[in-house]
Amino acid sequence: MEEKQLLDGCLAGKRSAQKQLYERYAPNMFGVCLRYAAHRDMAEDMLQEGFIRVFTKLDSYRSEGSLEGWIRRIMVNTALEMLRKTDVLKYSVDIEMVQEYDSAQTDGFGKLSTAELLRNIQEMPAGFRAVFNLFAIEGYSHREIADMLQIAEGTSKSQYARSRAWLQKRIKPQLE
Amino acid sequence: MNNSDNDKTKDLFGAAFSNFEETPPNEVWEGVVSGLQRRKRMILWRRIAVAAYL
Repeated sequence: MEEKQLLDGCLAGKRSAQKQLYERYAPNMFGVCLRYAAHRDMAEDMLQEGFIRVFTKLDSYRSEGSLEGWIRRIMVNTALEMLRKTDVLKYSVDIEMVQEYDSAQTDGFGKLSTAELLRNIQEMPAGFRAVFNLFAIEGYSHREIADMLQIAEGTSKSQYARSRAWLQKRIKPQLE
Repeated sequence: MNNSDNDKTKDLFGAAFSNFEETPPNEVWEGVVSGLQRRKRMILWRRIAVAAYL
């Protein structure tokens, strides 16, 4: 079914159209949620709530950008909101956990599989995970991240640097 | 941290996750349907309540 037909069906409340739209985008969006969540159950909750919002807000989609991009933004915002509700978006990592950043060590990241990279991202402290995902993978600027998370731009930058140092520390033993 | 280090990490993780997909379990779709039905019922009850008290 064409995207326009699918959208019209969803706006008319047709369950079959909603299911088709869900099946088209759910695997990709589940991949997004898995990066923000600490575990699979949380990612499933994010995906479920995200799609409920997609269907209830679909009338505000203006076809200016891609539908996938619009759905992705809803997923990311839903994930951040759920992390905020569970109060895990606190940047309270002990400074002792963060070692000095060494750029040469990041070359080793490329030796790990996507599944191994994902596991390391999921095990990051929530505040690091959110900033790392938004900056390194989603491509938001630190200014945008600051607005989204209601933090200072400098905090976003330092959280990102710390998240890389944290990853470096975690990944190093896995490469030996 | 300089820009080229930033770019290296972004390139690597961006590429690793650009096509990353995983099929969610069926329960998620069932949860979406029940969530939509619950919202529909809430809207209906709100309309009834408004109509009843106006």
